[in-house]
Amino acid sequence: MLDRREFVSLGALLAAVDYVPRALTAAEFGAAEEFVELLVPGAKGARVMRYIDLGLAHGVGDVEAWKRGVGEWMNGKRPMGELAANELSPGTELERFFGVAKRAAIEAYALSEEGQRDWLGYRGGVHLTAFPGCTEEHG
Amino acid sequence: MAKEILDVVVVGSGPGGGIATYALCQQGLKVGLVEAGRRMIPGKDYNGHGSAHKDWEKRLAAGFKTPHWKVTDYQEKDHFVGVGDNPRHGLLKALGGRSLCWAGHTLRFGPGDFAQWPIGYDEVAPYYARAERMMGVSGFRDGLWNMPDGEFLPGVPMRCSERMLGKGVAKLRGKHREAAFVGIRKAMPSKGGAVPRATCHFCGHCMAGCEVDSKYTSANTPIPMAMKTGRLTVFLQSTVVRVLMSKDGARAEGVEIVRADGSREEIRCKALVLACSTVETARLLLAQGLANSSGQVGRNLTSHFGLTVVGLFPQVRGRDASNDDGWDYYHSMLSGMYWRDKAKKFEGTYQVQCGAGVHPKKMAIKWAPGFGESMKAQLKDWNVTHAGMNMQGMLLVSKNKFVDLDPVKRDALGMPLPRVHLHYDDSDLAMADDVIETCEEIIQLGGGTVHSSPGKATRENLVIDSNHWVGTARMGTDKKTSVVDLEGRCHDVANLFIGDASVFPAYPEKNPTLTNIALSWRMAERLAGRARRGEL
Ligand SMILES: Cc1cc2nc3c(=O)[nH]c(=O)nc-3n(C[C@H](O)[C@H](O)[C@H](O)COP(=O)(O)OP(=O)(O)OC[C@H]3O[C@@H](n4cnc5c(N)ncnc54)[C@H](O)[C@@H]3O)c2cc1C
Ligand code: SF4
Repeated sequence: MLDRREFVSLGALLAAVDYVPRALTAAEFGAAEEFVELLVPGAKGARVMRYIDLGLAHGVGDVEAWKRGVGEWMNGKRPMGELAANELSPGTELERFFGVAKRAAIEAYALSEEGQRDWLGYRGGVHLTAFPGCTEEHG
Repeated sequence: MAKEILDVVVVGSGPGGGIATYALCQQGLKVGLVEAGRRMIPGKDYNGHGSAHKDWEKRLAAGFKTPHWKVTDYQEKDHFVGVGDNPRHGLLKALGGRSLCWAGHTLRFGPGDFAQWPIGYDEVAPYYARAERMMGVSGFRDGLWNMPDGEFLPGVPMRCSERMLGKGVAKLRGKHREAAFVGIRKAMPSKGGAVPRATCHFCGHCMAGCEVDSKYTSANTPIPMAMKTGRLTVFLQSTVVRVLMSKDGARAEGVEIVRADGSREEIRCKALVLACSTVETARLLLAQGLANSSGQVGRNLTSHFGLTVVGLFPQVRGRDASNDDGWDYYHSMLSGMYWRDKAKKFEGTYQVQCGAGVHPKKMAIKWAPGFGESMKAQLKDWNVTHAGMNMQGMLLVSKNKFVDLDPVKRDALGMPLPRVHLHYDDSDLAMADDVIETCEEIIQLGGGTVHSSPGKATRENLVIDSNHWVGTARMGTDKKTSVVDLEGRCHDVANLFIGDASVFPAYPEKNPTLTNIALSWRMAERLAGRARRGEL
């Protein structure tokens, strides 16, 4: 018999491995998860890549762009600062992927409960009897 | 047994058709309401409270590509042909039409606006009042002459950055510009007991559909009220493909419908009301050459158009941004622009709908440079301190904007697709440039900085409002230049009435639906009067 603590940690383990990537291979998925976590810290805990991969498998986003970008990253990692420097005028596949992955990761993280709570401090989506509006005086 | 001849058939159950149906039933007439769509169940077919991540797989499997259960996802696609400067045309086939997804902005047109109409403000005002009471409109009394106050439930306050914009507008007025900054007015009851619907709980996703049915829709208010009279028959998933005409072409005798299973039926009536929405009503008329001796059906098409300027207000940094949901994004608006002092460089007026706040489900600002924690902090800060200003300008009526039928393309039932022609005129571009300049000035006067702005209007960066089209069957006294008379009755077909915004003879900057409802209510009462007098 498992005791309660063992049961809970087994649950957490299962939850972590319960997703088999649909659009990317397992290796690509792992590398993408690493890349996305550098872009948006907290993304891994919020299972952002699961969200993105599911979408890619159903025609949301460009699978080929992800495969090419992740492939480049797996072949030769470059410092994120370097990629970010060329964000507005990307010249290489990996620089282009930086933009693609960042947009998708920001959206998926903002939509996750973790992102809403830990990043944005959001406490909405609840039943209010009155909306307070701005309650402070500003200059 | 001979089939029953109904007093009136109403085609389309959106705001226009919904209210006409209620008014006709209430006046004692037997009505058939024909609607192409099905009944949607709030909370089941759409529910903005759902969790994007938890629902994602289910939604993808169901063929949706967006993360939330939004009613807007059911809007039609490939149902029209756009010609010119990226025209768009919204259509939701459902009981209630697009009232299921509207934002609920409910503004009266004012006496200045009606100066261009063949009927005056005083004629429409009693219908505005009735409609507001039925809809449960919440708002502040602002005392503006050309956007009169209505019968309001308590208004809902602005967010902090919107108040900063208000300070900017106050300074603009100090420079002798005619302008006002006011709270938005919405058909959502802010207080219980006024209308028999749930009180709004300020969860902020009204356009995704209100799953508790607090927001006014014609499916949750006038149509159930009409049902209660016992005089209404509703034909759902039934598309009108043809108006049945008398042999001499002088009278409408009913409609031919096609049901979801492909079967056809004729429904006979003494009078017919078309309320299919501006583009679709024109399409039906054009398909049969009906009511068009003037050649004006499909002409005088107009809508609103816009662009967005975003400001940042560092003064509000550190404010409580934990729940900015409210009443969807826009809580305020710049109003009064060029009502009296006409612009020299363009024709018409505009308003600017303003919003602010952190809405994780639809972040206003989605990008900041860099990566990692610093990028996240920057993005959050921008969303917390921003205010968005969205132009809603009146589009100039001209020969460059109209609806006709595509000569080749047809829908699944064999009906020709409507073509929506939009070519912006120079006046439209000049108005948009004025908006950019004014919004940037207001942001700066309010103590903020401009975060993003188009800088200059071009035909490519203007965005047409796909849901505010009006004017393809305009009202007038002269049958050579208009399609319907002052009652909404077609000049050419004495028992054919139009109950949607296609009859607007002119269009100000204000949102259309309240006026659509008021006019359709008025039309229905006139029609019922004719029925009582035996004139149908
Ligand atoms: C996201 C969104 C936000 C909006 N926000 C606002 C706002 O804040 N304020 C405002 O004033 N307006 C707003 N609008 C616009 C408003 O919803 C429309 O102006 C209004 O719904 C038009 O009413 P209608 O009755 O003319 O047409 P619709 O609402 O389009 O209804 C027409 C109905 O007719 C049916 N129909 C069409 N052809 C046929 C046929 N041949 N046979 C049978 N049935 C047919 C359709 O299925 C539809 O149900 C918004 C719209 C959207 C989509
Ligand atoms: S804010 Fe009010 S009207 Fe809008 S969806 Fe929520 S409960 Fe409905």
